[in-house]
Amino acid sequence: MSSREVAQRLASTLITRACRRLPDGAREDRLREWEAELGAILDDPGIRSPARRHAKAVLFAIGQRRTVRYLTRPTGARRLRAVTIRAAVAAAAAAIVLAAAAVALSPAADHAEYESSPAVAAEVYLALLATIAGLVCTALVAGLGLVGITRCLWNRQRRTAGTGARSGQRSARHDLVRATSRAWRNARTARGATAVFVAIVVCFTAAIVVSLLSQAAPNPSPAGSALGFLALAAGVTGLACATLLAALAVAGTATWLWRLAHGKPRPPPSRANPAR
Amino acid sequence: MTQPLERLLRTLLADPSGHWHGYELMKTAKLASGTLYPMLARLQEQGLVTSEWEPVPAVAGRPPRKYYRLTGEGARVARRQLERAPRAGPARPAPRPGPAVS
Repeated sequence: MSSREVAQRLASTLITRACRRLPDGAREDRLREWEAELGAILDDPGIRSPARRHAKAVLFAIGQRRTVRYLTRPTGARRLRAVTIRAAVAAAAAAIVLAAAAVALSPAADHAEYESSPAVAAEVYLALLATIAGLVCTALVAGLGLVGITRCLWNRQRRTAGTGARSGQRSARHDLVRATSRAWRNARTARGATAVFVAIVVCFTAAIVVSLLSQAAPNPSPAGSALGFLALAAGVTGLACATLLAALAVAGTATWLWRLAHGKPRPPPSRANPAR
Repeated sequence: MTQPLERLLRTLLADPSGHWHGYELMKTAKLASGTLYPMLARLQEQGLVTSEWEPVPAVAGRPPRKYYRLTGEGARVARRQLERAPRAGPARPAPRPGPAVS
């Protein structure tokens, strides 16, 4: 078998494998197109070296994996959901790995005051880094979860409002639904602030309970270290939520002051501006 | 506008009524296949580029290839976008024969 045949077979295999992920309608079309391009690349008179032509053909085939990824990517809300889930899973996995690393390294940290060798110092440093990174990942997961829940609630509310508008044009019930949905929309910021406030309370309560449990656990032990880590994570998440709440309050006050200074009343809710 | 998209549009606009095969576009615009084809798919979705199969293969014994060309709207949009993008002169593709359209 000549090197050209080897390159062509390899590139064809790569293209066929990539095209498997395409939907039925597009698969044959893309396969035909790229197989034809493969022939043109392998016979390109502009490239003198056969090795370069072969390499180009294989690289062309490898690149089509990316094309297929693009063609099969989820779009719109599905894409957003997929990206959020992927980020949450990655952050959760990282948090677990880093928490395990912090727990594994923490016995060295417990004896650091008695031993001052560079190795112990390095372990303490690594444990600290793992703890911080794990906390960041945990906060990220918590944040993504919060965003997901908020979005889910928001979409459900919008769907409910939309269904009401379609089905009950002539009924008093429709008026009630519209009034309720308008009030719900108007109270959007208040709902967000309430959700964040609840999250703060939950996080700080969890931090206190878990830290008490960690003190009760035998120390040093993996369970005690894990509980300590969780307490810290809950505390940091609570602090993050508190910062968010403060930012919401500042933004709300600034908007109110701006409207007051410019004499602009709050625009009434309308179909064209349903978010108000 | 990203640089690869700009290169692709400049290449296509160098011969707005021309027919381009994927590999020709790759060579002229200096783009990898994994960059070029997603962009072509996106431009096709937007109706700026259209694609057709060669009715007769340009080289005997080889399967027919698919070629791409700008639509009228695509040429207008590409010109407008490129006017906004401050860049060096347009790509200068080598002259090439058109497809064997019967």
